[in-house]
Amino acid sequence: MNLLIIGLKIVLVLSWGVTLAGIVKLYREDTGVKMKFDWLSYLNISGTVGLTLVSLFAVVDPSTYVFTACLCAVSIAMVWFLKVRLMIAGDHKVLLGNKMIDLRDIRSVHTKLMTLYVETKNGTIRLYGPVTERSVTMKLYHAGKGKKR
Amino acid sequence: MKKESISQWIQEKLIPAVAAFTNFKFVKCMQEGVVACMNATMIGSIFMLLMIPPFPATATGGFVEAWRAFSAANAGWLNLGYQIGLNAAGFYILLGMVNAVCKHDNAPLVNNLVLAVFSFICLQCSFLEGGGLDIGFWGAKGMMAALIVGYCVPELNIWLKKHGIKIKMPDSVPPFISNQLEEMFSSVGTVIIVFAVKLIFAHFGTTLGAFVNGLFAPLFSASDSLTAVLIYCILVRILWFFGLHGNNIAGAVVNVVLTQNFVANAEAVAAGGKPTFIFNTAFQNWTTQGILFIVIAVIIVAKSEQLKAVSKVSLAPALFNIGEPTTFGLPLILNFDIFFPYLLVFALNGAIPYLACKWGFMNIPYIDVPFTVPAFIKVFLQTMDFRAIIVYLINAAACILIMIPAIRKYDAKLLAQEQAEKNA
Repeated sequence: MNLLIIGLKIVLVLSWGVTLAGIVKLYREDTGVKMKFDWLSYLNISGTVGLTLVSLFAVVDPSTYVFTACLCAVSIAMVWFLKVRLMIAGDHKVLLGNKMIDLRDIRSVHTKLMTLYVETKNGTIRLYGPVTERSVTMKLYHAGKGKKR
Repeated sequence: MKKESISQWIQEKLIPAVAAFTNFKFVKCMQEGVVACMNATMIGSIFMLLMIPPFPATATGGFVEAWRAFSAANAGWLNLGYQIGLNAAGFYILLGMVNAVCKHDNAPLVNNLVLAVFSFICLQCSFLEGGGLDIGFWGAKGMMAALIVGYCVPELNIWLKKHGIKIKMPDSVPPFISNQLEEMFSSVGTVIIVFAVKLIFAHFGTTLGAFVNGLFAPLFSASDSLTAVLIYCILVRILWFFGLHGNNIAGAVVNVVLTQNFVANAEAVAAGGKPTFIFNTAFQNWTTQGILFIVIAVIIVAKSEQLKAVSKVSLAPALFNIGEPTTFGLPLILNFDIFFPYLLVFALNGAIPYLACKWGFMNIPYIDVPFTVPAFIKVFLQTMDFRAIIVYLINAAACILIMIPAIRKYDAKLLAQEQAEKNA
């Protein structure tokens, strides 16, 4: 059980690692990347950070095995749920959840219910409840404007 | 009054008056300053929730016991997370306030930040007997003082720099050095004034935080009343009715009081007590739930194309407490057909949960949850009390029943208009 919890904690760190690696990749490959988020997105991120901190610091103790394991599992799920909703843009590229695409490849952008649909030349990317900032959405909108016609 | 003349009155009188208020420098800086502590309070809430299992002492069961064991095994650092997250909220507000003032005055940030932190510690803290700093006034108790220090200290420093003596450095000196030296005299002047203030308070055996809290005590006790809740709910909705962002405008002033109430509740729970302030930032979420009830009423009665379309678009956002599609789609703005039931629904959104807390039907909300969490889950998470869901459902039923006749009448009007357009 000790190993399971330690394993879950490692997976949690790796999950953050994968999330941050995508952002770092965008930073390296593009210019003008800003880590700005609107108020709601900040609350989303801080909630996930809080839960992650609690899970990582939790002691590995026989009396708390199941609870800690569940907490770690929930935190991992939260981090992945954050990752697939993250939307950050540079001057030429944009990170849409798991995918990094060229702003030039965007054909159009529209929303329906809580989902953002980004039509690219390789298909449509759907982002449920994006964690982002208004200027990024505007960048996408301007990138896709006029190309549909 | 005709719709055109109302519109003219809004454009010429209401909007400039509201804009003048929200553009008032202290109000603008206060809005930014209070927001600065939100992320920290959110993280601190998670630590607090895990540190203090929200179950009565008599509760038993596998999950409850597991939580208690987790809390006991991790108590030390969970308390640390709570202390630096929630119990230092006043300190974060101070940083946010200084940042807002410097941005507004286009003044250098670092020196003003150092001066403000210095002044805050000087005016708010005392040394403990065995060494160390007493940070009891960094949380809820220090918020009003943080706003005052965060605003006055940079302003004083900027004023002294503008009107006092300053060292003019040659151009060859790097800017980061010349900036610090140029501000030396104004900084010294500010520190002298801060010490003078400290000595005055010490002479009377008090601190700035204690004095300000005493001064505002009637406001805090008045804020936690049914009247205050009703005034807030109705004012916010009247502003929305005129197309103004009610929550932002009213929140500029109210949020300071509500945040202080919220942190005071958290402190009480962490100390093993019970939350006492009903009207706090967590409770504030209850006052915005009416949009979903209006959408449900629309779904039940809508026959016109317009309302059917609005209900389809608005339901999902309303489930996540996002009201704009309904506000602008129905519309709720300047819609006299549903104005009074609309006000009544939001007044009930405040009154029903307030009275439920007051009469002990449910726990007082004391946990910060993102407002996009669906309301029926959120009300439980905020109170850690299943009875909150029952109160929510009663509130929902009352609001839907109030809205149905008004929506039906409005829908009939739209249906007639659509029919007339088809026939034309």
